[in-house]
Amino acid sequence: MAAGGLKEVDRRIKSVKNTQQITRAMKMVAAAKLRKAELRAKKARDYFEQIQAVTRRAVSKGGAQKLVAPRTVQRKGFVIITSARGLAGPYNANVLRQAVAKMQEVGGKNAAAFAIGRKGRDYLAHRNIPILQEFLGVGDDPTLHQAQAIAREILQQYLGGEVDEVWLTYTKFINPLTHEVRTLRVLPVEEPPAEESGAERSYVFEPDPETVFNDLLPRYVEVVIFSALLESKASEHGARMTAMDSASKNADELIRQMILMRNRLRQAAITREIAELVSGAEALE
Amino acid sequence: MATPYHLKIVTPERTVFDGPVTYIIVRSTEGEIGILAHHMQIITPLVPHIITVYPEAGNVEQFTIGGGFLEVGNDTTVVLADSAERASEIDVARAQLARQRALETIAQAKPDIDLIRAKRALQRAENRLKLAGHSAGGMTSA
Repeated sequence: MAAGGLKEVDRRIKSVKNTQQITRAMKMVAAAKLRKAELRAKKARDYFEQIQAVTRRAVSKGGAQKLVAPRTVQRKGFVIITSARGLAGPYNANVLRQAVAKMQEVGGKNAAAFAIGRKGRDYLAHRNIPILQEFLGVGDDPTLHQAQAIAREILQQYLGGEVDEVWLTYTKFINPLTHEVRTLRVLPVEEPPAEESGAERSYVFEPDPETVFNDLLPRYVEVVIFSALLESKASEHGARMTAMDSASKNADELIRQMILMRNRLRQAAITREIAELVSGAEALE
Repeated sequence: MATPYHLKIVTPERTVFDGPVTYIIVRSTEGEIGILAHHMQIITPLVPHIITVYPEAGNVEQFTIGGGFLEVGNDTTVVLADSAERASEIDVARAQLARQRALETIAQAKPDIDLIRAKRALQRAENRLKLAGHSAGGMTSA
């Protein structure tokens, strides 16, 4: 029985070491992917900020248009970006918690989701939240092309009257340890705060506002999605790296404790054997 | 020396140009326009073309622009380009392939949205080849 306990502990140590190798490898992979994703997200920020500013200024000067004019809201669509894979700590749970809370807060009964990423899709399906459309397989390097395809579908639903407002929940990458879940309204486009739209800006739209908006607004939606995909990806890799780092550290601690236990067991077995030998020898005398 | 103003050329992938310039020439859907400081504030869509930039210091620069937007503001002008490249960054082989593909699509001539897209693609490819110093091999009637 004593030897059996020892073997059992040995086996567990080996098993934890194996798992630790996997978590270490995953941490390294996530770190490499993070570097790339972070770079891309940061490079895209400039364009995103510019097009957002331009679009908002244009909207405040340009008057009503299909993508801009608020309408009676019957159904709200929520674009939710999650990852395809788990093992990223509380990353997906955080996104989904805020997204679902927001859906209940502003969407009421008539909220439906556009699910990007398998984790979010599964979660929403499980909770019986209606999914208008799902986009899976975005991969580690979201391309503008993918974002355009997603934006096209969303715009179609919006213009077709399937949804009357579009919201987006994603995570903004801050640093590898921190990301922030954000929810914003994509459609209709929000007007800028009063001080930004300042009266000194009086634009001429060439050839006319209608043409400019028809071109500008779909692109705005594409870029919002693209940028959110990049930010979310960087956050995801950051979260996974952190989660795998602490998993590796936990494994270290576990191994340390089990080695202590193994030594104790072995010592106990030896002591007992000596005691048996001694008492056996005494009995013979 | 003309008054400088701030120019930004940004694409969804990266910022291509960010600095003071005195003059730029772009092509909008309405035609070619040159922009000096204190230009009227406008927003206009751009067609695929080659933009010419006169930086405040240094040599004239040219970039291919794959369509996008121009916003002329008070002291900053922003080019929101779908894509933008310097001559040295152009992948000639890829542009030639793209040109071939676009020509084939145009040859099949379905007069719908496909044709417009193919023509824009052709324009982008030819701009790239032109800026990279490779002849587009005889202009097309597109």
